[in-house]
Formats: sequence, structure tokens, C-alpha cells
Amino acid sequence: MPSEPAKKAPAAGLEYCELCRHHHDLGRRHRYGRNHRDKLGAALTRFRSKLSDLRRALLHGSPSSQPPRSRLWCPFCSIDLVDLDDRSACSNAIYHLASGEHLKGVKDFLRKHGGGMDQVDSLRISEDEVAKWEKGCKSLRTGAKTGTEELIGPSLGPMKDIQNESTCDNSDTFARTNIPSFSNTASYVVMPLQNPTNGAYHPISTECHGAFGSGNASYSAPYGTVGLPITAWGSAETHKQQGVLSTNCFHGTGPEMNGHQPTIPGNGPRPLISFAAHVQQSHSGGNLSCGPKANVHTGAPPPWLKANEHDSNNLLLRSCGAPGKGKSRKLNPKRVGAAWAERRRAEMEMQKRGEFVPETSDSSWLPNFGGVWQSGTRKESKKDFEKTLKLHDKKSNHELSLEIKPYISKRMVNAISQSLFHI
Amino acid sequence: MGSALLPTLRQKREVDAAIRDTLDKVLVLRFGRADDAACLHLDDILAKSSWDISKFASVALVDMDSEEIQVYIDYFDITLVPATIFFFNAHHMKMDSGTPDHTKWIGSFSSKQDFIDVVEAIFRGAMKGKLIVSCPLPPERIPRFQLLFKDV
Repeated sequence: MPSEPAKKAPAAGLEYCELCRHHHDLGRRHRYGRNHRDKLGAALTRFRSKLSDLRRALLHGSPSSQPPRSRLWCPFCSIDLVDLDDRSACSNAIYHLASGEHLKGVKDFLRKHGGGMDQVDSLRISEDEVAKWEKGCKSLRTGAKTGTEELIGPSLGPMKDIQNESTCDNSDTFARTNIPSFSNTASYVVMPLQNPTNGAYHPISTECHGAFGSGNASYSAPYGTVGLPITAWGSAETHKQQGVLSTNCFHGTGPEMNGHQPTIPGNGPRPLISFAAHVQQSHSGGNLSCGPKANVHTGAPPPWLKANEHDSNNLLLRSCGAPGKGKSRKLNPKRVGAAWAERRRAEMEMQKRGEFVPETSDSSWLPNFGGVWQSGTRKESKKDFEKTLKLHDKKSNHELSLEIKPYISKRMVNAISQSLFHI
Repeated sequence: MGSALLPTLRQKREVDAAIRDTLDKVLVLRFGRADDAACLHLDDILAKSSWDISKFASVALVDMDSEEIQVYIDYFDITLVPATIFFFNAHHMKMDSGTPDHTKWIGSFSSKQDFIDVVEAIFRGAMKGKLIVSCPLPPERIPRFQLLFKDV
């Protein structure tokens, strides 16, 4: 009897799979099981969504739909990345996610658990993004030094009022002002106005600091903010609507801003009325205290409205006058008899005005009519009818007596002529 | 009673004026006689519908017995009574209702709504630039007649 086949070599040892959270002795075959693949996919998807939130929030500055994360667990490197909302700490997270160690960890993880290597890039932050982020941070830092209030870079949380958060020296005092601001990008070329220009526009970098801390008599909103109505100023209702936006919105002293009441150094909190009054004044006049230019920033009315002021009186007259003309303009120009209708309408208007209109119709005028037994065009049938009408008239007018003569053939004529000749 | 609301035209210049001065509206000319039963029925329907269609059509009655109107009777080749002819901006509008004569509507309408539908179809076609339109009514509601060519 053959010996029993050698017992199977003892199992290669039980392995623990972190994803499936159980031990197995399948070795590498475990990676291809359905459960494992499902769990791997879920884990990677979860991490990707967290990473994309982080990426969006930190690098692009837009708020995420979910509440901000304070920590992120990197499953590839088994590292807990904490304090993501703290600007100084989240740099560690970004640098880690862009680092070579993380890349190695991701590759090892995928190799171990069987995911495809093409997913590596989606599980880390690239160098380009890090460079962009660093640039943003730099500009924020330099912007902060000059006292800009903008928060460059992302801010976690929709209502965090990143526009009011200031990194300048007077941060406490500036942070909760009524200053509307944009979340600025790292561009100096287009900067939102932070202070009233009074007709003269100055770059923010030079004036930002002074604008808030100055003892300006009235603190007014910069009206140069593009795209937002100045009438929103001083209006609590509109603030409610606008307060939802974390970027690019005015923040006035709406009810939701009560927690952020300004404490401008040297100046008390500004009453809303003064802002509104100042803005209204500037908005209506457009010429106040003026600077050389009347433009959007000064609240001047646009040139086309100025031009139309003169025409506004005439517009009423125009709208009232000639309603028929307006009607014809709306009508389809290809409708039947459109040209005729226009011509006739003009003639009727001339007649109304008392002008001489050449008589175009006479007693013989006939409309365009397609005959019952029509063979050609309507004009032809009309002409035929007019001919028959004329003929009928001629016949009725002339007293024509029809002489009925006998028929004489040529032979008879010849015979008669010969007979006469012979005679 | 309805005819009191509708103008009756007895002279050629009146008919000319109606055709020339009705702009961007359908002009409905009924050629008939006041003492004809079918004409009276048609006149009643026209009078009742005239207000409803006043925004896009106007209606007028033409007395066939008038001397000056004979030229129009010859021109339009009206032999059967009543005959309704449609114009739009001084252009004659034809309607293909399955009858031998597309140039006019012979006879009366079975209801007010039928007449309104016909006028609406003509108006819509005219606004689109069509000189001939299809009749929206079903064949059973269209009066039938025979047309003779030169009494043959």
C-alpha cells in the first residue's frame, strides 16, 4: 500500500488581512476573492473622497460639502494626519501626501492588496499641486504683511468669513469689520477694493492697512466689488442671502454677522446707517468728492444710462405713437400681403395726417383673386377677366347690328363673274 | 337680429374699401340675399361669431342683388348662394375643403365653432404666407354641392 500521501505541508501560516479584518491561509489567492476586492475598493474610494475634500479645501479654497476634517488617517503609511484646519499643521499633511514615503506606502499597499498600480496618482498629491499651494501660501503671507484682509487660499467652512479673517497685524480689529472682500487669489493685478476710493482707485496693497485703521469719518463699503449690488449695503435681508457665500460676497452687518461685530481700533463700530448713507450718496451722485474718473468704483451711472436720460422723455412719445407700426413689426414679414399691408398702412397714415395721397384705386380696381377655373397666375386670370369686362362693355356700348349675310363660295363668285364677263 | 351688427355692403366702392382697409385681419365677405333661408342661417352664425373673432377677423355682408356688386359676382364666379369669400391683406384666400370650389365657402356652417375654426385656419395660414389652407372641419360638416362648368 502506498504510503499515504504526505500530509500537506503545514499551512504557510495564517495571515491577517487588514482590509477584511480576518485571518486566512490562502496566501496571495486571498487578494482575488470577491470580498477582499470589494473591501479594497471601498477603502480606496473612502480615502479618495477624503483626499479630494482636503485637496479642494486646501488648494483651491472652496468649501467642501462636508464639515471640515480635523484629522485624516493615511492607511498606506498608517499615519494619522491631525489638525487639518490649522494652516501650519495641514502643511504636514500636504507634504506627507506628496512625499516619497507616502508614494512608497501606496505602492506597497496596492501590491499587497492587489489594487492596480494605475491608481497611485489618485491617492496622493502631486508636486504641481504642492507648488501651487506653496505659492498661495507665500502670497498670503506677503499679503498678510501688508495688511490685506483677504484670506488667500482655501478656508474650511462656508461661514468662516475668510474675507473677514485677516492675517495682517491688526487682525483682531480688522477681522470682523464690515469690509466686503473677496477671497483673493494670489494675483495682485486684480484686487478688490477694500476702502473707499472716492473716485481715485488705489491698489489694495498700499491702502488696505490705512483704510481700516484710519479715522475716516464714515466707513463705507467699497463699491467696486464686481457683480454685487451696492444696494445690498445696509440691508439685512440681502445680507441673509449673501451671507451664505463664503467667498466673493459682501458681509455687511446683517444679523448673522452679529458675532463678528467690528472693533476698529480707534473707531467705534460703525452704524449701518452711515454706511448706507455714504454708499447711497456715492451711488446716486457718482460725482462725489470726486476723483478724476467717474467709473464703476465711484458708483457713477454707466454711460448708456446717461445717454438714455435724454431719450427717456422721447421714449414715452415713441411708445405711444404709431401703435400700428409696432404691430406690423411684430408680425411675420412673410405673411400674405405683407408688402401690401405696409404700403396701405403708410397711405392711411398719410391720409390721416391730411397729406395728399395719390389715388391708387379707381372704380375698376379688383382684388387679387384666384379664379375657380384658374389656369395661370392670379394676375393672368385678373387680366383675362378685365379683358372680357372691357369687351362686354364695348359690345354693350357700340350699337353693332350683326348683318347676316349668306355664304358665297369662291366657285359661285367665279361663276357669277364669268357670267357677267360673257354678257 | 344678427345682421344688424354686421355691415351690409351694396356698392362696389364699399366692398373695395373693406378689402383694402382691412389690414392683417381676415375679411369674411358673405355674398347672399337677406331673404334666403340659408343666408339667414349663415348670417346668424356670422353675427354671433363676429365678436369672438374680432381680433383677427372682420365680417361683412354683401348684397348680391345690388347692381354694382354684379362685377364682383362675375369676378368671383358666384353662382350658388350663400357664398363666403375670405381675404387677407387684399389677397384672396382659398380653402381646400374637399369641394370642387376652393375659392369660396358655399352654404352655411353647422355651428358657430365651425365657422370660428375655419376663420382661424385661414388666419394661421395667411400669417404663414400660405394662399391656400386645408379645411379643419370633418367632411360630414362641409356642405356639398355640384359645380357646373359653363352650365355643362
